[in-house]
Amino acid sequence: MKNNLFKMIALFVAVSTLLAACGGAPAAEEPTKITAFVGFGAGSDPDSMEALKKIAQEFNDSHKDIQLEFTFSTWEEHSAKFSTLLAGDLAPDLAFPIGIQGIAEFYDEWIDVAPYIKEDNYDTSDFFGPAVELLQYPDKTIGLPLGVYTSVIFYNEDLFDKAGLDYPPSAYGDPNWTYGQVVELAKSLTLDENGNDTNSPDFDPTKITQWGWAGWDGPFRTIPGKFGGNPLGMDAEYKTAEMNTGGYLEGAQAIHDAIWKTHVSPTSEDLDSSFGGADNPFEGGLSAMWESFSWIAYAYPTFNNFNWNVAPIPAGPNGDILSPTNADTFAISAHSKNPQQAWEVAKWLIEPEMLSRICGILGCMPSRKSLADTWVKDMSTEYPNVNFQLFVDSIQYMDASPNNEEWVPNYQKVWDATENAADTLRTDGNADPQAVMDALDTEVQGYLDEYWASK
Amino acid sequence: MIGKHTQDLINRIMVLILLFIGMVVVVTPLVWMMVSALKSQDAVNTNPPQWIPTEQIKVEINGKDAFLYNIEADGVLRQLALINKEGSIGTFVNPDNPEEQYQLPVASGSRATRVYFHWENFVLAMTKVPFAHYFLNTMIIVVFGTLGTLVSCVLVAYGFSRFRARGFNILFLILLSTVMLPPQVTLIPTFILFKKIGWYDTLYPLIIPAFFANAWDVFLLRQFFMTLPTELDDAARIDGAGPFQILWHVILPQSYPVIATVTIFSVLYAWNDFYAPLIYLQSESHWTVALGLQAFNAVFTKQGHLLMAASALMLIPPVLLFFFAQKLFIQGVVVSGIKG
Amino acid sequence: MKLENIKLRNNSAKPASQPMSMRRREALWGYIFISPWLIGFVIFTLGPMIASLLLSLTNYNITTPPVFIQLDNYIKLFTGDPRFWHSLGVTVKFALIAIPLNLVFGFVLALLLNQNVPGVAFWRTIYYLPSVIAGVAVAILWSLIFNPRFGILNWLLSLVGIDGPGWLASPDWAVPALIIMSLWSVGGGMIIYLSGLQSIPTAFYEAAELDGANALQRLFYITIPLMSPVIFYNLVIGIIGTFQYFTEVYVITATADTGLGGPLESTLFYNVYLYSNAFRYLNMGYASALAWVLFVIVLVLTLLVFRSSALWVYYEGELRR
Repeated sequence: MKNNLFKMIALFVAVSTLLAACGGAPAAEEPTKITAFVGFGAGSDPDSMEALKKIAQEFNDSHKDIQLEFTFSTWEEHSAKFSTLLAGDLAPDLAFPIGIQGIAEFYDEWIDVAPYIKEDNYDTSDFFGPAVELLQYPDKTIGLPLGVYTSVIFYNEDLFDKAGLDYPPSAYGDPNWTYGQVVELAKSLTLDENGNDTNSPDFDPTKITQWGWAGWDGPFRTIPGKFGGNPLGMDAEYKTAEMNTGGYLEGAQAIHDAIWKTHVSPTSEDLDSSFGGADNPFEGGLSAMWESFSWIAYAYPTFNNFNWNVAPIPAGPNGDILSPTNADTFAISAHSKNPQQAWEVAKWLIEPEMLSRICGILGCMPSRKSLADTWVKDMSTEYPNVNFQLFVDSIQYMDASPNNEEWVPNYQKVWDATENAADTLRTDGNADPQAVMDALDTEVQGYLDEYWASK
Repeated sequence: MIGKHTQDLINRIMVLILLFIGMVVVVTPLVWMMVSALKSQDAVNTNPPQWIPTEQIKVEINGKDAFLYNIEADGVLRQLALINKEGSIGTFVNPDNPEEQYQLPVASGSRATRVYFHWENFVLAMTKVPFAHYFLNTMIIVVFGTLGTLVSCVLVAYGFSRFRARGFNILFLILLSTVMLPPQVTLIPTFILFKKIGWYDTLYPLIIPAFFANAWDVFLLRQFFMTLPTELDDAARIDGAGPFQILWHVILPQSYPVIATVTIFSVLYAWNDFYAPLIYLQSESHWTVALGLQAFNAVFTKQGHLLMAASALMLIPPVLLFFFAQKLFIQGVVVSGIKG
Repeated sequence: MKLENIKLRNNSAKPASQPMSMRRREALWGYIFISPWLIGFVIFTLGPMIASLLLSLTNYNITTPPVFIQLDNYIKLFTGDPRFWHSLGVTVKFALIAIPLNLVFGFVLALLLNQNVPGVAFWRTIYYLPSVIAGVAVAILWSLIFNPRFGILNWLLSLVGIDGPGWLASPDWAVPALIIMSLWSVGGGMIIYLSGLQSIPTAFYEAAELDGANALQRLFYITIPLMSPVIFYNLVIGIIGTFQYFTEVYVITATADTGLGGPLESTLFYNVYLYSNAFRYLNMGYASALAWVLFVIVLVLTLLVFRSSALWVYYEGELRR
């Protein structure tokens, strides 16, 4: 009797447990859907999209509780697309990859990930220190670096050969390697249509066919630091514009002189005219020296139309060596409904092996020290003539804080105004750098005042 | 006095000459597009720009790629491969016999080039993206969008042109005014609207609104309908025809040219539109052909040759449509003696 | 002169006095036919338009909810924003040249392509092609045409000894370059003219020829008047479209070194400036204000053109209202 009762109870318990399990199965958690927005920078070309979709598939196969999906947008429309998603309560959880400029565009939108890093005791020692510092803002840490893009000098060996000049140095530490020397070299490397260089009395500056130095064509904020100034052009409180003195003014003067005095640099019209079919001054073979971030890697096949190599960043007149750097990271949206899971996805993406793969897809230099040597080796196999170690060496000279792309109040307006001022310098030979920078200073001060008035 | 026949001939020849000159102007960029579509990736942005796809020749020496140079060695002009470089001196080898080596200044030679048409770019352009998928999505939008546009715009234009009613003047003005507001500022409210209906990441926002007419086509059709004399309408009405029958049997048969025009515009617009698909679609598998084309122009990549190839391919359907729609332009309506 | 015999009468279909029920019936049918648009307007269009009007009274930066600031945007726009006037000026100057040019070119082209020349279908297709090409490809193609150093245009000019300007790369020549670009795709508007030309009864021309009218007289007394509805259409559409000119500038300058609306803001059209405010500066409220100011401008211009239409537009089938 007791045996039977026992059996009955046991059966009852078993069945009810089974029923509970079955009844509970439909109520089991749906995997959390995490969307990652691709469009702030690289990643929206067909090959990258395919590769990223595969990566998402791998993540999904190995994670039952989180499902990752990439949402792609063209860069040109990324702001509109991201804005509509935000406004429509469909905010992506992650922005990936996103650079410093992208972060600044929607600065208020990203959460502080420092608590997550702390909670997980996440080991950040493998990342290049300056790269981590880059993403630490006064009020929050926005992400961890995925890839770094340092700047180096690119030079055209064939043009140097033709002019009979020695190549630039191949390592940091040469005290003679300054921007002054660059301009000196460029004088012999700038030719007009009759083959005269700038040292010749017959040189015609209106008929230049080859430029010795095209390296100050990038965003203006990459330049003041080389003259000892602050890339952001304002005080640390972001209250007062300081764009008509110091590094800003010297940089402006240097740009103007290089174009209109020594004639070694191309004008805005030369630059903006796609340099005759090319997207940048270097790849068409018309510039002997250029300075750029390493994300230009997508153009290396075109550089290969001639023999080229890289050189270290020269020192400014006061001895400052600054390699302007961009970086890619992930960022988690403040409107994300699942920030914890987004963090899990982000961690998975920046694990060494996955990070190395993604950098291969997007063309960045991995931000982990452990991957640096492999990267140099891989790149050297593809481009044997080029000294890729310099990209890694430049990290110690990068502008970690403040960074040339970093947030300032009224970011886009200040950026546009600065670029317009630089453009004026490159367009108008009669422009007075002091006057141009004074006007810029006034305009930006207005934007700063406008920002603080609305707070 | 020149005879009429000769005068006609002279007129025709003059017209042909004018058209030919114009054609050269119009067609040159298109030729450039075709030529660029056939280039190799690193030949798209050269100085000076190429009109014939030319590329530098690479050969394989000991498992590695090497550029071929036209260079003088031992007084003889040869084609040698550059396998190593120390400063300005390069190690050149005979591509057929790599043991034969020379140390020569690189600047004394120049890269060897060849003319090569990369026809495979057209195939690549269609295989690098899930073209079949995109095409299917696009066709759905094009077909249903055009259908909706034609039906709704004809009805509305008929109403505005053949009927008098209180407030119609104001309403027509309101119709026009809907396209006077730059769409950037209605983007977000419209997006929220569609999202609330539940149409995000579907093709519905790209199709359904077409069934409710648009200002451009209604305006065009209305203008056209107003050029048609009303006598035929009256005759049909006397015969007992209702408004729909008048539309079908009287108005439409006289309107083939403008209907063809609206069709062509509608198809072209849906075919080339990438903005609305970008905003309203999420998964890339819902993308359209136009959106896939944009991907070839992505920043931080260099795919000009594929972009041009894809652009050239995308021309084909609208152009075919236009070419065959010519029939409707030429065969007008016989009813009122209208002839091309 | 027998030309007077070819009088263009204004057909009126119905006498002014009519039984009420017939007018009511007509109005009812009218509303039935326009109902697709009316319904769609209420569902899809009206709401967002009102929303954007309300947004123009706010400060809205997308990451945070809108903040009501009443008319501050409009005040700033008219009194404190030099770029508003600059962009308006760029747009108006462009419109004043591009609209008439496009009207004339499209019309002339359609006239040419309406002739009985061999291979006319082929010619029409050729001229239509440019308007079919996707925007991004067009920008690249034109960058090459207009390239100051290696472009075709300057090469042609050099053949006759002219040193071509910087075109899209020069602040002074960027807008003229855009005007030339807009003419290249005039084939799109050409189709509309063609469909209008196709519907002119040849009887008119035959009668005129019998009366001794020459080609020019036929053009001015028959073709143009009978085409006036289509010309009117292209004029109104031209105004509405040109004032919102955006895509071409965006595709060319968005990724250029000199930034959107460059070089040196010479191509900062009104709608380009609006876009910058909306999606670069994230100033959606201000952008909405800009949009509504443009709306009023274009609306007024369109009304003026509509008013003037009584003087020069002839409809064969116009209803006496």
